[in-house]
Amino acid sequence: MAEGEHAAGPAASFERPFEQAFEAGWTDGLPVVPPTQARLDEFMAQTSRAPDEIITAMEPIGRACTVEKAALNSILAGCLPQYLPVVLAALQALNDPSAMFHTHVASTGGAAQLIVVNGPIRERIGMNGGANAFGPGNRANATIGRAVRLVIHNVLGMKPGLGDQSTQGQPGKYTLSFAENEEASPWEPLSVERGIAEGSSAVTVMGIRPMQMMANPTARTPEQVLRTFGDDMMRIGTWARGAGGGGHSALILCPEHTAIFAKAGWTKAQVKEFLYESTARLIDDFLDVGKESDIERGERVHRGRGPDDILLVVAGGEAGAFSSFAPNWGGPVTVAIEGE
Amino acid sequence: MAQPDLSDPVAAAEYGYEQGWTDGLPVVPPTAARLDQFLAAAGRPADDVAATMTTIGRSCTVETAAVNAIMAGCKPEYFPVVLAALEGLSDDDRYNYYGSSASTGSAAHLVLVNGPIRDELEINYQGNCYGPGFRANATIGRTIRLLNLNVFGMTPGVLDRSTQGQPAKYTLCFGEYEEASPWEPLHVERGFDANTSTVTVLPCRQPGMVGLHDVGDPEQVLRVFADTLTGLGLIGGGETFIVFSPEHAGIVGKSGWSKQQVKEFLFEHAKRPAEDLHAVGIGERAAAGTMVHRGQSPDDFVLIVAGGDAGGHSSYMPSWVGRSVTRPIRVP
Repeated sequence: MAEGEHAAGPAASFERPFEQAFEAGWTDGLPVVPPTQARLDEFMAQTSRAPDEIITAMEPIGRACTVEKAALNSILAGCLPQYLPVVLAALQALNDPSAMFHTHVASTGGAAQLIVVNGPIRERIGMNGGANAFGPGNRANATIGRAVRLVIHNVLGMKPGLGDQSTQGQPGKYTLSFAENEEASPWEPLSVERGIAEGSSAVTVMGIRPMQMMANPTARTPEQVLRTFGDDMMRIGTWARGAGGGGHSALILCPEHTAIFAKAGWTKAQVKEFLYESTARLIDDFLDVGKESDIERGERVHRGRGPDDILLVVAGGEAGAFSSFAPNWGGPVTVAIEGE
Repeated sequence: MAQPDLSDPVAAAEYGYEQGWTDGLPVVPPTAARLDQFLAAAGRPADDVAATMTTIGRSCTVETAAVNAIMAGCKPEYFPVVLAALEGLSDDDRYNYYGSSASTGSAAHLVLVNGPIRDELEINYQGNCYGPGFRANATIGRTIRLLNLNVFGMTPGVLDRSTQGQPAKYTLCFGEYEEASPWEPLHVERGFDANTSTVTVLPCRQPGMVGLHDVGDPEQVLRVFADTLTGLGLIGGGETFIVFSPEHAGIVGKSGWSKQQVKEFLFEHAKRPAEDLHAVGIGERAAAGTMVHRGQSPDDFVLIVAGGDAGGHSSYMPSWVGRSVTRPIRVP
């Protein structure tokens, strides 16, 4: 924008850059922060990576995103400079072949990117892993996930109806990043379980179908809670055998449900094993509604290939017995955050 | 605090954050000139009450609603849609605006648009209708959230007690794909003329997906929907919006069934023996030997069509502590 264009004074014109960004098509439909060179410099100071280093790519369409373009889109999304290393780690994770980045973004299934942050950076940038962790109100949560989506739109060109063939999509495609509530968990953090050193920060990314909420306000035993989850995970319209990554599941446990496992002294491995067993359902139920399968009548099927296909994350506020199930569409991939 | 140089767009956006006006995403700082445009689009006095949260004795004027619509990124012509949605949220007999906003159940406020205004405002009802990329969808829904945060004090962890929340709390607004429906659109079913535009609001739990690709028989497809609604973490309770993708709507439409027949079939099949609930420590009010349904009657199923023409992916949107309300959109 030319110098002096705001001669009429800021009150008359400061909304113009926002409208120009809409007109330029840089947005997900919401206002973006039009980047300036000064802002870009602040962001690039947060990483030791070169501006032209490729941080993620979509090989099937021959497109790639550099660190500088990731920074520009982080500015657009509303990030603060210190969020950039988290965005870069998430994009790096999506570049892992097992994330099936292009596939899950292009698919009619309408996948979102679930981004879970572990370690001390949660505190340092003020991420929310407590009440309303998936919802609005926290800048880091809101803008880190959004930066990934803007990279998908603006750099990789996967816009709805073009490369993105989502039938209905999901609101999680605007943004879905949050911290694990490590303090409410009796277990090691997700990142540590996945090989990152204790005390380091990391992101874990999964392409996911829409999450669903699982309520059980009156269960008192681990078995009751897990049978509820297993039952929800095996509804016929929810179950997808072998789809994307072999049917991984992310279970995001609220503190109240988590406390039931902690009180009973259950380990993560015990929870996963019992949950996997709780997903057992007769194939007949699927065959009876016309679904095709090479599995014989009388056999039981599960969600995933085994207990290790289940990810357990703790998040949410202290009050309320509502946990969530995120069916997988790629990943999970865990990557350490630079400088942390 | 010194007045920032708002001609710098970064400073303008940061000013919005510093004032605490946001949901975590950037807002457009409102100007008096922009406000005049929004009030003209409303055709209502600035101090008219636009929304009320009776339980906490708070209300919101048309002017305050306009300021938040500007911050959300709306165009002036979207504003009548926002006002109709706010009327619906304020219906104390049905909606339960406070309860659904405050509850640990983490409800979002779904905004569904019917009628000709969908195309006039380019409200998406086809591919990726719940997702990003469409200004009207994104900003109309977001305005409701900004009002919750900025006017009604629904700060997470304070008055908003959501356990986990959900992404739809940023925004969830889409149109019905009336042209792909085998039935009359929702607003016509609810007594409005087809050429009237309306908003339907629903206090909404996390929407779930019904994925189904290899079944072509209408009854079997509906049985899959019924099964998907009877998970033990969901069963019971109120309304369910079933949002059929065009592909699934086409298959169900082949039955020749009316909407009412489909609702009755869904209600009849979306049930579990009370013993299934008792085994996981829920449903103690249901006697052994009885069945527990999703919903209280067939009318608790609300049938809608939306989404892209390709793909066997539909959705269900369960209500939370309130019921849906439909209101006409008044464009002056």
